[in-house]
Amino acid sequence: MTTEMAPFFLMMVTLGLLAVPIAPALFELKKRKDASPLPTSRHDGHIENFAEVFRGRVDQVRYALQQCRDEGKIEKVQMEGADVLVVGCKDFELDQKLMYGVSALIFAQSAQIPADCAVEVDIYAEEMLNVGDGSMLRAALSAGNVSLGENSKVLRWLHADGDIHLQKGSVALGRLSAGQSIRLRPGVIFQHIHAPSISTGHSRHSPHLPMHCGCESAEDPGPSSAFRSRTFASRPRIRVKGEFVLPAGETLNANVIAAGDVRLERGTRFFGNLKSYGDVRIGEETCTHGSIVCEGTIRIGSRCFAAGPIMAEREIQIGADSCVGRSDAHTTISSRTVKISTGCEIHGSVWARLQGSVED
Amino acid sequence: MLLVLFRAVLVLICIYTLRHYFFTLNRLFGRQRHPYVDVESADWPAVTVLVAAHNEEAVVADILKALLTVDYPADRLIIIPVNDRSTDRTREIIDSFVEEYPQIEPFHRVGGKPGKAAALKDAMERVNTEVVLIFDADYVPGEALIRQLVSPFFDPEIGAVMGRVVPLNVGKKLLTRLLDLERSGGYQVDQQARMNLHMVPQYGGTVAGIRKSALDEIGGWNENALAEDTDLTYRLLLAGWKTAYENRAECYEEVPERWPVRVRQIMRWAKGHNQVMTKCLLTTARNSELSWIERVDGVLLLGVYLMGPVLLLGWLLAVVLFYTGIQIGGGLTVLALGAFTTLGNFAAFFEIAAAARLDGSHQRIRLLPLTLFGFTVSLVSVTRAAWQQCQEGIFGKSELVWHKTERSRTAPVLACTASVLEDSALPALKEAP
Repeated sequence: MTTEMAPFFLMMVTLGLLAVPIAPALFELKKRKDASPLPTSRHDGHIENFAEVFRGRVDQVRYALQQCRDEGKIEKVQMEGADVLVVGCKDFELDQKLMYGVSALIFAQSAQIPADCAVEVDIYAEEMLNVGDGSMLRAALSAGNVSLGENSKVLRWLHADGDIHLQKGSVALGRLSAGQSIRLRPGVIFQHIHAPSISTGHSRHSPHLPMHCGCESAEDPGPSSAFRSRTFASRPRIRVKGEFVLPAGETLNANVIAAGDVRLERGTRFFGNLKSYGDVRIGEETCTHGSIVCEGTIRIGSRCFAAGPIMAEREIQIGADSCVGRSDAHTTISSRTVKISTGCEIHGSVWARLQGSVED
Repeated sequence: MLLVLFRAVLVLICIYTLRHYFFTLNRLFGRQRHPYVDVESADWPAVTVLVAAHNEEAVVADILKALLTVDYPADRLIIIPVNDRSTDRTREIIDSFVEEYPQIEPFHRVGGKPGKAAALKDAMERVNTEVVLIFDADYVPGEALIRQLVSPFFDPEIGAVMGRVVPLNVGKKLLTRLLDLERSGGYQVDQQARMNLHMVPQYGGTVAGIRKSALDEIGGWNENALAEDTDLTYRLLLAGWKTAYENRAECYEEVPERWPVRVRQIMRWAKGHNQVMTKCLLTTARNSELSWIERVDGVLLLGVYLMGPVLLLGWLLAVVLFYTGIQIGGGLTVLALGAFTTLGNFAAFFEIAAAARLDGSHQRIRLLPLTLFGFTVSLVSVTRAAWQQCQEGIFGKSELVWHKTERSRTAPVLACTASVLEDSALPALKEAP
């Protein structure tokens, strides 16, 4: 009996072994547990997205917000299934008992976060938001201005429809964006920032305004948009095997791709786009009117102007009193680390994947 | 002689196996390069979007609607649907958009050579912008896709850009599920690893962009190319332009749902690829302007569709050698073969599994053993394509035949996705930022 059945058993065992890897496949094919299209990132990637989503949630309690403001009261309401605290009075003091279990603090007027205080919930301020020295926030949105005190910290994101002022030593991790301007004092640490105007105050060494380029009027007296369209115009392409140097005071209109380092000496004018597989060093009082792309480090001297995106794989350093981007044509600075000196003005976005800082 | 041939086959298989592992390990543990992903604010250039459409009445409205809602300055976006000799309602559907949306400037092509490259070549005469993006009509671009595809062009060395293709009709059939896994491996691992390692990311012809001055420099589209994308990748590379791959510039596409359609598609790709290989293999290998890693990757990429026939030849030789009693080597060779059987045969599966993991999609990994079926079909198809090309080489060239991939979509996808959204089947469309 056993001998007669042996081939049958052998066949069954073999089939069983074959079925081991196939079985989950057939199960998945039949049950279709993971048969939907892969998720793709369809959002627009804007820095303000977190703030906008939060604003949408706040809009759901707009009626309660108005009511608390009119009556000067504090009330817990539901926002998307979670408790939030709506504060309508001016003399509100952070109270752990009152804050227990709430997921957000909604201020119907201006908000004041005292010094050395940690707020672990999202904050909305209908007017101004003042954060005291040494305080820490998780995330905040203000319909007015925001002022972060010295050595204060934001952990996730911060957006103000007006201006944001970061005092000395404050840290903004994650996203920091403003509808109008961001002012950063020396010693500020940041990651991703965006505003029509980002300034780092006045330089200690030369209290001048940041450099603004006069090349446009010299090159093309027409409207700025006509000038702008030439950023992507076809130009001669110069491919350099080693180092590329543009001597002091020279002007060049070309796209340059260098296998080695690139140096634009003091006072040069560069119309075109620049790429280097080494480092890029830009001398003082230089104007560049295209993009600067680099596999290493980009060092921009003091009193320079750069119009196009600046992208480096390692580090970007921007010298004192320099200007990047224009008020009518914003741009992006992107690298692992970004160091900006005082007296600079930037129009657009700065993405420091690891860390950005304002150096004195 | 047979033994030498067999050993040559083994060496080739080992090289491609190592290549799979190299790419996969780089994606899992290496430094990832996304140099252009952060460009959020910029003085965005004027862009022309070419939508290649040949009898696309089922899908052309979807892509036009999607393009009209993208997050790109409207005054700098020109959409040119390239209606290539369609005999269905494609023209009528395109024209229905024109009155309302002046940024749509249709190009109705009524004659000329067949094929996408020929149609794009004619359409390029209407293009006045430096950056041109190309989509097939069955694609559904997301809001940020245009910006994501344009941003690499701020790098003056970039001649072409390729985005990631994600199948939309995944759950329909076994074939679509297998193609979904295959695409994941190809884009999430292969293409991104090439980008990380400064190799040769491949321009794919759709969800892609090209710099007009670069295209003009290399002589425009090659209308005789069966795979105009591969042809362009290599002509750009040899002229000193780079192709950038943007893994986060994702776009949904419709993959074939029927095996005969898939077989025709892969045969066309194989023939087109081999056509480029015969033209560019030596020039790529010898080009001293390219880095050594570009040359190695460029040559290996050109040979991918030859590996099908090579593998079949290896199997055949193994059988012949076994029955003729020829010894393939000593104990070390047997040990090496054993090691290869343990690791080498699974290289492609490892790559797909890694891609599924990187995509955060863990359940579909269970289908991995079934990809063997898809591989077998591909193996036979590409071998057949190579055989046909050999015959054409010996007996004279047959006329270029363009097999358009059939569409299976019957309802507008935007309506479909809206209904699917409610069932939470498309998480990305609801994704919070």
